[in-house]
Amino acid sequence: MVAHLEIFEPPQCEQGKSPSSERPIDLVHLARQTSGDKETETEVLCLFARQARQCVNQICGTNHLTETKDLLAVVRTLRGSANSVGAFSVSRAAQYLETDPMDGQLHDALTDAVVDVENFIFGLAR
Amino acid sequence: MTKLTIVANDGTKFEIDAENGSTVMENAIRNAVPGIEAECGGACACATCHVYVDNEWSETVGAPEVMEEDMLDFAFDVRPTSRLSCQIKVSDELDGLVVHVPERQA
Repeated sequence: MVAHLEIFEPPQCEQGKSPSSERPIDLVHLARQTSGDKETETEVLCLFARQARQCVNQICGTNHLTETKDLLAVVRTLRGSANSVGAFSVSRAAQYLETDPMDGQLHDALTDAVVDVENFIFGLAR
Repeated sequence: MTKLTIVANDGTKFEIDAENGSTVMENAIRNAVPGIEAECGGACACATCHVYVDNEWSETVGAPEVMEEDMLDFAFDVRPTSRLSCQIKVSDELDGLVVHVPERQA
């Protein structure tokens, strides 16, 4: 049977309470962003995984950025991308880091969130 | 119109006259069948419209495609006859189809 992609009027869900919003990537959010185009979703997620890894390396890697201004610019970029694709745990971790860009614990939290998202994306793209 | 029976988890039977071309999920939502959430509205992105196709119908309905199978990984208590109801399109050959709603969704 051919996959049915036409989007039926979705029921209202209380924000933050749906099963999808509790996953590393909110696939329902992503489906809305891409109008349910699975090929686009996969492409976007792979791009996001690559970008998130680059950002984490710039934020927390061995040769990380030392200027707060530069660091914040990368954190904001990551937060924006994460929001777009539905990686809300990464987005939240980036938002916290913006408040104190030199806090090591917040760096670790962001790295953990990105690793979770990477694993989730690689699992989907297997 | 095609006859469709959706059995809620408490045993309540919803006997529905479904329009060909619609999906089982759409009919469940229109008839307020409890236990079908369909959070993504049919985009095959959430696994909250999971149903068990009745054993007698599983062959006729067929197996899920890869995309649906991936989503079923997120569903609760997946069985060999599990399908996402948003991916089952009603047609004449499914006249009399019976599906069961699981205990809970993803």
